[in-house]
Amino acid sequence: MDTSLKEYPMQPVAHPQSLNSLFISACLLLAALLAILTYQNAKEPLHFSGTALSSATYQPHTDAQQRSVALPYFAPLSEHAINRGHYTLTFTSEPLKEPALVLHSTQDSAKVWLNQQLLTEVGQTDLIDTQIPPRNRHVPTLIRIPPALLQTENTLELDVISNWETSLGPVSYGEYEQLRKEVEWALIWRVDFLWAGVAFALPMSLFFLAVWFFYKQSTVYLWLGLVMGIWPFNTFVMTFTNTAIDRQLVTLIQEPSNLLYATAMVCFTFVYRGTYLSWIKTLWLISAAVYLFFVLFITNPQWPLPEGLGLGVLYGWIGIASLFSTYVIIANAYERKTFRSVVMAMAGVIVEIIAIWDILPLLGVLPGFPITFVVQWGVITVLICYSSVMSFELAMALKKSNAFNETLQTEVNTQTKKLTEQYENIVELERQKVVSDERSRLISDMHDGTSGQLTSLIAGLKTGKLTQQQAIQLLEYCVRDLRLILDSMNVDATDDLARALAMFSGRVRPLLEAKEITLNWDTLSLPEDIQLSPHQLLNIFRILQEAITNIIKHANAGHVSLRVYLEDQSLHFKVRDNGQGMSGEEQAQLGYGKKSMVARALSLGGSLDIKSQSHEFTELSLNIPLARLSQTRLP
Amino acid sequence: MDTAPSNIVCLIVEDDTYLAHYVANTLKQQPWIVHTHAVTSCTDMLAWFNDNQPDLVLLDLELEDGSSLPFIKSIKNQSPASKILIFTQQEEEKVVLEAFAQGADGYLVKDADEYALVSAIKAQLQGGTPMSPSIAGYLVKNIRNCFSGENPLSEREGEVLKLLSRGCSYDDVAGILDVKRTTIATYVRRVYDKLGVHNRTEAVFEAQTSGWIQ
Repeated sequence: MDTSLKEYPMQPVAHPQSLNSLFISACLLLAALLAILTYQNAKEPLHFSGTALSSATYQPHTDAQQRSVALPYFAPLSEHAINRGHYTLTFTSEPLKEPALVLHSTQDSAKVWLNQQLLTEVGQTDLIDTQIPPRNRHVPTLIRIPPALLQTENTLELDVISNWETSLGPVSYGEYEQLRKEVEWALIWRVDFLWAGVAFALPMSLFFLAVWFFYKQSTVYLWLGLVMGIWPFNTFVMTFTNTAIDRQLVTLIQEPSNLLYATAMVCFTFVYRGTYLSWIKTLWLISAAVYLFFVLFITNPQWPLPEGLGLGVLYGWIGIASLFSTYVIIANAYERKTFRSVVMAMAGVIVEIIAIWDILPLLGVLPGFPITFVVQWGVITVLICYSSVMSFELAMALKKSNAFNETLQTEVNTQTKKLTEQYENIVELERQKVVSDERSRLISDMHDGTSGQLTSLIAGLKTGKLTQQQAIQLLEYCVRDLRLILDSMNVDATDDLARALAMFSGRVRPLLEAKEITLNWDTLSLPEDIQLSPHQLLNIFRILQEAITNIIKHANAGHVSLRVYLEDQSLHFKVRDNGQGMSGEEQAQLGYGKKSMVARALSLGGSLDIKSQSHEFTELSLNIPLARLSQTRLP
Repeated sequence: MDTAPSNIVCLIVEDDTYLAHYVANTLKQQPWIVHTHAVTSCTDMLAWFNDNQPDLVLLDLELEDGSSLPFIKSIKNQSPASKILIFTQQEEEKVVLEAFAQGADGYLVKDADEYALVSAIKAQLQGGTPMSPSIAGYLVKNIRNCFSGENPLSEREGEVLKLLSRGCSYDDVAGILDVKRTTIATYVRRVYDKLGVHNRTEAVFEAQTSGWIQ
């Protein structure tokens, strides 16, 4: 009973805090390393395309719209650009020393002819050479115009063929340098974007996988870890096998990864749905939906092409993640009101402003504002903030769960202690009840035998009607009965009927031997696990004692055998002597002694029978079914 | 020692003078008793032992000046030939075992039945070491406690104990195990001796803490 109360299978989940902090430190170190690598990577020399003239033949497009445009310096053709066009460029100011054209193309291929000579061909291969991922090709391509051409003429015939919007404009020498820097920066940003993504996503991926693996958390963390790993994988593949990669494969990897990012974010929100105030969540869900719709359907010119879907999902995810982290940060500040969380909240607000900055002009709400798309520029910072907040949240959650486990354990211990105490109280009460019952039983037994006999003895002696011999017999009876009562309560012996009977044999054997009656005692076949109550034992003792006393007094026997055995789920007691036996008449006259024995047998749930044959034997049989014994057992 | 006893000098150590008188009377009727003497306290008993070496001591455990249990050993040393027969109302197994462990030769529960008394004394003098079924049962059940955690009994001794604990007489056991009755008595004596060797300190300590020994 005790042990079952004290054995707890439940143990607090082990959260090695040192491992946790070690891992976070490792993540930060890795992030720093990747940032350094990124910087080194950005310093790599850039490759410009289309600097050499080709000998390809000029083939004007017949369907191309012929245009003559007077170009100011570095006036991008964005307003006028078409996918196919023939331009006549007339430089209105003094001739340029080192003029150049800057080509903005959102598509992967464009061809530019100048004075019917193929000036440049921007193609897929070139783009990969410059480490620009095909889709993110908003990088301007610089096209140097050979000075020899400009020295002869002030008007240039320009033909552009591209699949999509292309803007083209001449630049001066000084602006060329400026533009070159811009191009460099743009490229740095592109590369940086990828590697910063790695710097963020790789540690986060490992972090989530570790949380899933070591802390045995939800499988959502496994998902997050895998999904976060796609971006780094993609970047590594693109960087180190750039010649082998093709757009299809990139699309195959990148687009599902974007989709999975978004899914993971939803999962993550679902896991932490109880963490923050409901109005924060409502706000986030609404704005996330609006943002996604906005990105997918309004700002994305390629919708509903599959590639456009991926692009939309990417930006949608970036926006949603930004918004979500912002709200998490703000909610954190609202709930915790610590300095750190307030600073984070301010960062979050700035991101919000940037997002509004992006969205409102595009919607035409603020017509004067330049239409730029800058929310992704802040995304790295936000994601780092976000990851630190989430890591912190996670660490806090784990710590809390640890503390909660400990509290729970303490509570369980306290309750167990209480229960044990209550149990002990109950046991004590039970014990008291048993003692009380036993006391009543003893009183009743004493009244039944000893007390009555003693009273009658006193009365007999007072009236002088009792001889000394009779008085001695009565007293001997009393002493023996008292001993039986005491024996029946012997704690060491009464737990086993065979032992209790053996003790009884120790009582009667000397009496029989004093009369030179041999006793054959056979209880060896009795199993050891028969348990009777003291009351039941006493009744059996008294019946057997009465039988033995009768034999000593009346039977004139030389031998007594007592056999106790278990048969057919009944206890059988047989006391047989080889004395003078009884005739039928004598048996009928057995009187008080037999009546009391039968009454005791009945109270045990059994039956008593005496068989006798004159001059041969007398046999007393007591049969008690075990089932009845358990029913008649008193406490 | 199977021969009938003769010329026995008996010391009765009993604080109940009526009972002492009754026992003395009963014994005097036996032809093999030549002398009885009765004392009522441990002090008197020890004093008497200075000048006498009785063949038989009927020793009550509770005397006027305390328990006589601690003195069994010293009188046994002083007079090794004396058979010490405990004669008491106490029936608790632990007390009985302690008495045997101290060196008592027999144990008789007080009974006013002269036949039982005389036959027990006779059996004692003829070398039978008694072991009641309840003592045997107690030993079987508490073998580890009684022998300080180990079981030094041989297989045969264990069997004898087991049968005695079921109420078999020495004759019954001798019949079942197919040995002589005296062999059974020897086994029993050996069990008591082992109990004395293995358990003395602990039993005395237990007896003292339980208040049997002042």
